[in-house]
Amino acid sequence: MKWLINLLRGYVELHVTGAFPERLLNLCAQNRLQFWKLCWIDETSFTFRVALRDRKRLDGLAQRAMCEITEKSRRGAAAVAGRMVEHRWGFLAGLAFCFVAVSFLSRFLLVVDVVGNDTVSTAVILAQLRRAGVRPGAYGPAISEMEAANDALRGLPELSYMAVNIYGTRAEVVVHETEKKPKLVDETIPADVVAEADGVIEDIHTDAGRALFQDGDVVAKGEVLITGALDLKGPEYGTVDLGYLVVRAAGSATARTWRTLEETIPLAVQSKEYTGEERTGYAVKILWFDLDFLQNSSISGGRYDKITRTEQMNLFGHGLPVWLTTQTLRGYELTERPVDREGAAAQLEEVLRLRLEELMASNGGEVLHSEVSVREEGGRLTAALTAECRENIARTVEREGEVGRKGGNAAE
Amino acid sequence: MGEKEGLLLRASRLFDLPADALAGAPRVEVIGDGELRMGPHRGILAYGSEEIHISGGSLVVVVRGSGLELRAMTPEELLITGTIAAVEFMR
Repeated sequence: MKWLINLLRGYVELHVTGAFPERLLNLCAQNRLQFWKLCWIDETSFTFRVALRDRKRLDGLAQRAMCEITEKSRRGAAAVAGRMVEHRWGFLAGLAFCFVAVSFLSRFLLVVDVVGNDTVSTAVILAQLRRAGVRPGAYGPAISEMEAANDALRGLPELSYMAVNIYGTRAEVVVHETEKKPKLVDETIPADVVAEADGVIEDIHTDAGRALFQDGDVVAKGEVLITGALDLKGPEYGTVDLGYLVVRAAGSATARTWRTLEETIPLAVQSKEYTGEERTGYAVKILWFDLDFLQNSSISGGRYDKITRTEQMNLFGHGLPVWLTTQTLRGYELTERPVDREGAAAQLEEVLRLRLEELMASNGGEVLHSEVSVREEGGRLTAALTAECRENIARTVEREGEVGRKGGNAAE
Repeated sequence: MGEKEGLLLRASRLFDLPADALAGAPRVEVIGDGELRMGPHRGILAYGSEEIHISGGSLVVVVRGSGLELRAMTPEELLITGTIAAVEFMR
């Protein structure tokens, strides 16, 4: 173990010559100057090793013992380090600069990580944090974590909690999203249930109000299915008019419906023909410094696409505050081209079926039968989808006023 | 100095006291035949791999053997290793 310590501290091997070299050993012992690996060569000389830090002290002792010291070698980590930096002022200056740079730059934020978000995008949170002063390049000690979190939270009602933790060059932002409030129905607002589409009722179910239709009835779009106005019947043979009761009607009406959806597309479209002319430019952003080489870049006298791609540099999965922007300009000319009829029809059919699926999903319905017809008119291709569906056509439509008893001549 | 030391040495024998503590006489400790500790000492007088002379004040301790090496040396104590054949005291 001792040899390892000596190796780390560094040592020097010396050759001592003198009339009475043992006097130097005695002086070393008296001055508590540690030596080892003593090797006697002859009566007037020997070699030994001393720690690098004792080297200068030994010169004085050798002078007193009238001995001559010759350095044979220097070994160990400290000696190697000493040799490395000796007379290398550029290296030393670089080392000092690196040390200062690391000490100083490590106080700036390089990365802002957001964790805990699900529906609110990281970009939205980062934009709000940027306004609160938390961004790559910001001076870490100047950021009040609690204030920054509160500031950012005020602008993000979708979040219920935010904590900003700064660890050196990295800021970790922990967020909790707000639980969505269920939509509350105001029972004091009167309403009717109306048909959203034409159809044949298969099953009508009333939760509140009075159904105006029965199973098997045909209804048109907009007709009231369940009314919120209920006639109050007075006693038989009585003269008292109880008026009517206004409620918020509720219920469902499953009906067979026939939906027709249409989509159209022109039979000739303008398409881009790339001329082959292309120009690429770059811009680099390091912390808050922009090195822009894209200024006034364009392709003269023609149309062109401008494709800009910005990428953040990464190191071992961690984003660095360096962004590289590549901008590519691609020249093109517009030419009119006929559309492939079959392809366009298939595309329209796909779009229509997608629309129908979305419609059924929103109504909780199903498609029983469907067919698509395609026609050409006025230079356009039109596709019509006719579908027989089973769906809930009941929609609540609020009316003016308040719920409660209306009209009549009887006291409430 | 020699007379004073001799007097202290005799006094320590008379009162059955440890001579090294009272008179500063060197204490030589030999462990097996490979290690010799001595203290206090007054320095090395001669050094070689087969013979080392150590000043102990009123006497000189001569260590004989082979492959002798001075491993450690402080103002109070020294340590010699090697194969020790004999330890001799000279006045």
